[in-house]
Amino acid sequence: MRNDITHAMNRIMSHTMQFVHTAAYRCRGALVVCAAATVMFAATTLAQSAAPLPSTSVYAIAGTWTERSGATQTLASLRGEPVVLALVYLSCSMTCPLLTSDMLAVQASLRAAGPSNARFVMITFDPSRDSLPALQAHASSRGLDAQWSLLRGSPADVRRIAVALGISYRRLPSGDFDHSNVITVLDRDGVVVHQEIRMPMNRERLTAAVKTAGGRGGR
Amino acid sequence: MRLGRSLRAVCAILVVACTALTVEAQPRAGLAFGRVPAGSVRPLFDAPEDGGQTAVAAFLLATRPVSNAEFLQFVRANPSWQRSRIPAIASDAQYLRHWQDDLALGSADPNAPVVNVSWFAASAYAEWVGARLPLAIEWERAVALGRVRDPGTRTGAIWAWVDDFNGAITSGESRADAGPDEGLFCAAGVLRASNTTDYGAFMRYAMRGALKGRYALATLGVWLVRDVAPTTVP
Repeated sequence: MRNDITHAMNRIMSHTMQFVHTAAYRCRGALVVCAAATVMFAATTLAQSAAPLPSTSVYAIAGTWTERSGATQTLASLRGEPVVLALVYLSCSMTCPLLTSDMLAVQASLRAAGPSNARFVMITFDPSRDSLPALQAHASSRGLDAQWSLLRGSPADVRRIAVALGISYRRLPSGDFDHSNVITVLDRDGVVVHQEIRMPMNRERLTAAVKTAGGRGGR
Repeated sequence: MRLGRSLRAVCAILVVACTALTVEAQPRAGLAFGRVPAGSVRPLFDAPEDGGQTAVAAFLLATRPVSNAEFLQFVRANPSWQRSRIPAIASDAQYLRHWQDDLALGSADPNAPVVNVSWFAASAYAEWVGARLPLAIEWERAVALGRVRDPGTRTGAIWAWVDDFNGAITSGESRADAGPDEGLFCAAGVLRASNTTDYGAFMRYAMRGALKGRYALATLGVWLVRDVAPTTVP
């Protein structure tokens, strides 16, 4: 599929070059050349972000997710910025609220050090009870801003991403979940670069991992 | 106009592909399913909430594991699951290593159970044929009823991937432990082995605890189940 995108981009660029060649002959001048240059710039930028996923990226794992706003997305749409990710559920009275606090602390630390586009993602173990309004209410009550995505998917999607991240969990007869305590840092391409796997979480290590993953200067 | 012709070709390919996928997503001819009646199982690791016995709803169990020939049909129709193309997140270097090539079995017996497939590949196969992997508790029920062969009791048998292999919340040598490590897990209550003499069950639970979803093992294959009636998964 990546080759098809590159092929299509090449076709667009070759047609654009033909047009520029013809336009130059007809003396449509600088305006046309500027337009063509803009199109080619856009095409090459798109081609860069369509670069193949690294072989170890979790974004290759299938799944369709609904964000608290109602918008549907794939995990691959998170590509481009580091991601701090946890699997939790809203009825969890034990460690899940603490995981959220840890992620909020990491967000605060990053911002104290300068502008940060790192994203914070929570995926629920419990799609049957954690509805979109419940996720919205939770985001409001915890002060989770626009950098946070709260995602809900099918039980099969949850199982797949949990397996990919090495997170164990099981649903109990009560409807609660036993689960491992994990916060994961993904790089811009969805490759796991760090995981905290036990409480208490080491917030400094998480923050450092995000800074390293985001380090490219500028963006 | 070259662009127009390409667009029509793409549309034609999409129509054919959609038709092919619809036709292909049927249970494989030759793989029969038998009904396993509802009952209960004493899970090896119980928690106070489980109360001892766990109810298992009736389900349909395949009469044999998925074969090399059947898995070949799957990767032929779904090239991203071929040996040379599968990403490292979805399987390790052992994936289908007993085959000659991406699309050639070589000396591998077409009718033998396919092995060396990761959990991701096994799950994708099940979804493609409109089935699913068994839950661990369903597999234990099938073993208890003698419906599946277990390597602990018969030679030549294979273990099979279960959907929730990562559902055992235990750590350490848990036959007599006080419970799961509270730092590692958010877990209710104490997990104890309910029967320390069921060696086969213990081996299965221990193996599942050691697995990662990308592992492809020569002793681990694909055994399909289906729901008795169409269910809407919440």
